Amino acid sequence: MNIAGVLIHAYPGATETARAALQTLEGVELHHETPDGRFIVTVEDGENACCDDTILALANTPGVASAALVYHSFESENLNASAELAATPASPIRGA
Amino acid sequence: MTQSVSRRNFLKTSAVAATASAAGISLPGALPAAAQKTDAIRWDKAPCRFCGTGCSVLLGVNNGKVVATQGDPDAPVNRGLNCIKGYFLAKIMYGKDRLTKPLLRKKDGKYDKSGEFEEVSWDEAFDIMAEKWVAARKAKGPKGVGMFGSGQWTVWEGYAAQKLLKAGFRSNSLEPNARHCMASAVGAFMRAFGIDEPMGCYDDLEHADVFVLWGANMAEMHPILWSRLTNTRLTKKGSEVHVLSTFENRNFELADNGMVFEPQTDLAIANYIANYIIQNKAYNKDFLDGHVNFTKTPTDIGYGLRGTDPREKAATNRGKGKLSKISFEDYAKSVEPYTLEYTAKLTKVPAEKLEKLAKAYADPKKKVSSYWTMGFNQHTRGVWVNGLVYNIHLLMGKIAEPGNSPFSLTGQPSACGTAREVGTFTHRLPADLVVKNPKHRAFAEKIWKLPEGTVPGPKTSEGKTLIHAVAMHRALKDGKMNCFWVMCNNNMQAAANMNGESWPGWRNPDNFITVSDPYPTVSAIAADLILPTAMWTEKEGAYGNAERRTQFWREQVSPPGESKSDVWQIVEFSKRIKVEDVWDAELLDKMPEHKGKTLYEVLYANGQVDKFPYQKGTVKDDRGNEYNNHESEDFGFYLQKGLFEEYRRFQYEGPKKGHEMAEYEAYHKSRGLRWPVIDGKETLWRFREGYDPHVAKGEGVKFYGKPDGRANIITAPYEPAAEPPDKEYDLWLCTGRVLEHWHSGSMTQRVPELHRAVPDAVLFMNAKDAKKRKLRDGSKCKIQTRRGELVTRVETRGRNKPPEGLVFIAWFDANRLVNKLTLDQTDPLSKETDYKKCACKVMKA
Repeated sequence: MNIAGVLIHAYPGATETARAALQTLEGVELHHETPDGRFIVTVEDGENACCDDTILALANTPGVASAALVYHSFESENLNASAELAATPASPIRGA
Repeated sequence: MTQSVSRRNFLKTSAVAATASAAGISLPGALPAAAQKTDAIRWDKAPCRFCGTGCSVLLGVNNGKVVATQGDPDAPVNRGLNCIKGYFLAKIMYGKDRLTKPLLRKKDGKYDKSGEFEEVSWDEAFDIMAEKWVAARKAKGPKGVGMFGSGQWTVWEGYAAQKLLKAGFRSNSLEPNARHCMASAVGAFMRAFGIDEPMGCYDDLEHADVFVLWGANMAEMHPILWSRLTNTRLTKKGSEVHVLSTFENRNFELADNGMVFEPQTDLAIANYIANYIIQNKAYNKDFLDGHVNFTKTPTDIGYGLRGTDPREKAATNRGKGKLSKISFEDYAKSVEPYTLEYTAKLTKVPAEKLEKLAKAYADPKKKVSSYWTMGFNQHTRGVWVNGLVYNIHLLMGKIAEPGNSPFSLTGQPSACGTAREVGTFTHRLPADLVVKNPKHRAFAEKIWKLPEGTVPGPKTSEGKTLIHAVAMHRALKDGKMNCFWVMCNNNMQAAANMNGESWPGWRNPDNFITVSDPYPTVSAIAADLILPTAMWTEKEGAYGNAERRTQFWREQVSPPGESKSDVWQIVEFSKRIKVEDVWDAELLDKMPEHKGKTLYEVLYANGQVDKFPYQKGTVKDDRGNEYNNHESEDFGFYLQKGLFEEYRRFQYEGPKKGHEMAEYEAYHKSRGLRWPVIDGKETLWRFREGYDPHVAKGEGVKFYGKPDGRANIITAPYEPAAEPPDKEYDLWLCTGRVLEHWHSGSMTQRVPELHRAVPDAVLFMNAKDAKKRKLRDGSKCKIQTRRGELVTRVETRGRNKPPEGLVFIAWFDANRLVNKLTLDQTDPLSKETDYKKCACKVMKA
């Protein structure tokens, strides 16, 4: 199971283009959009799209200036959910 | 809701929250309390294995394998973000064809250069290697043996190699692949400022108003820095982006002023800007009076080709670079020919675009940061052109303060930390010291507790000793160097003119070539002995990035099979060499206590490197996790710490101040520190009072790398390239990289997704040029130069859009060896190869 969180910057004036293009990508979900043209999206495996390939496609999507990965969990489906958490929003290693 | 659905939703919520937090956006209710739990996974930090940006990633390890990664939210460099290569980072260790045993070419049970690779033990591998190395050193002198390391070496790997070659084998034949990458940047820093590496830091990406990219495809090669730059451009009023390149690349999409120029004419553009500033009296007179000297450099210096080449015979000042002082008026006169009209015609850039760029630099109210990478460094006038941009910043006094920053970016994770700071070049010693200075050699010998005269000078009774990267392949071909050890890079694929120099050099029957690598690269397969190598977080390491930031990591997972790290290999190999094998009796008589010892005892078990004890459990984080350290376990002392602490003495006791680093443990506790580190405090901007502890109160600005505290403006003219297109070879050939692959692709090509995304190197070509040759998008074509040819497909609508007259191809593809095409021309001053400009023709295949 692949789940990734990605921060996207649209080119100036290309927010609409970027939004429209992102919405056509399978496995991509738009969660938040800022007035200055930034999107918070998640990427998952879809029926016809593997998360890894979609991630690669993001950078070459019309209107997208940069696509930066923040988070990636690639644990297998059958993991014991309570014991295995892939990552946390805050740093799991505060300090050293 | 099934368990897997709820798990999926939970992970998705975590992904959104992490991303929002990295973007500085607070989303109410996005952070579930459960997300704080990280039970079974052990998390730790490590800098990324790829480019020189130095992003920090968090690695989640479970059952001895990396199972998750996250951009490190506490890292000042990347603030929780990762680029696409960073996303696939953990997969580079798990390629299907990892090497796990030493492989030696053998026939009938014995080493044979024409034999096939057979698995051997480390003992057998090092025995044959030691025999060959000792024989070559005896027969051919200091240049008989050589080592080619890397800007991907950890700090202590470079330092251990420095000692093995220069003090152990008493040979200056040590070079890093960084010679191909940023030697021109180093040369320019030393000439202008007397001390290496940028004065500014990445914080300039938020402070600047104007960004100028000179031959740096940041969008693809430094994506995280690009995202910081993009963020500033989108959120800061009045900010602007200027992009210069010989073809349109992805940066142009954000550019307010995109300029495609004729190759090599960047020299003229920089001089035009200087001329504009002077003609409009925009320069900062107080700054020039107080902090700058004006100088000129010899011209018509050749192209670093073999001496027999007619271009070298014709050069009046071949390889010369001694500066001479001139006046401000002389300098002004030297740039006077670079008028707007002349420059626009020569460069093919529209005049209004050039003027817009010049105005941005000349506006005293605008803070300007300039960035460059290989476009400037891989240039037969690389040192010159680096210097010409310093000239502009110095004229305006726009330097060494937040936002005003001429900044040379690097391509490798430790080109700065290892190659440059440890000085793993033929002519350098740690902390900016050089072998040509007898005092510097004596200082190194003192720190290393070795007799005077151990480190060879440039000229010895055994002949000249300095030999740069490109000359090494020539020496192998000519049989002057017989043993060559390549570590942590893929030089058969990376070096220019493979057919003419590299391949005949490596396969010369007199030569014994060793390659240490995790994978069977083009270089490994061309070698005689392959040593399987532990990579990245399979060992404890340290890298130094482009903003002077030193970062450490702990060993996260065990190396596969019998693989061993580079530092282990270097230190273990030294046990095979007796001092008597490689030192003459006269030298040994100066320190008879070394008689009968091995190089291991003299260089590493020397009472300094071996002084920190190690036992299982020594390496732990403050969360209570313990980590392995295979090298220290094998040698019985904390090897990495010992090497680092000895190296640090060069920074504190040496003749050159300004390189100070913190003690070993400080780096395991921080997200890196930018040197100089004084009293635990890092330095963001050098040479300026209030930021740099080496500039005293009242001094304002002091370029303390130079004895008089003044930087050099160095005038240099436009001179043509070595091999411009002509009637037969009618196109410029430019080579470089793509986002998905890093350098020769030996790691990224093994990540299936990256390979799938960009499997082959294609030829980016202007549609009109294609049409003229009856080629269409996707057509099979043959690229031919005077040195070789290869077949690939034409791409006319891709991300790179060359102008008419130029084609671009990336060199990551092991099935299309681009360096069969390139010319082994170098900057005569820095000896760095120019991979960006030679002539080719393209036809239907």
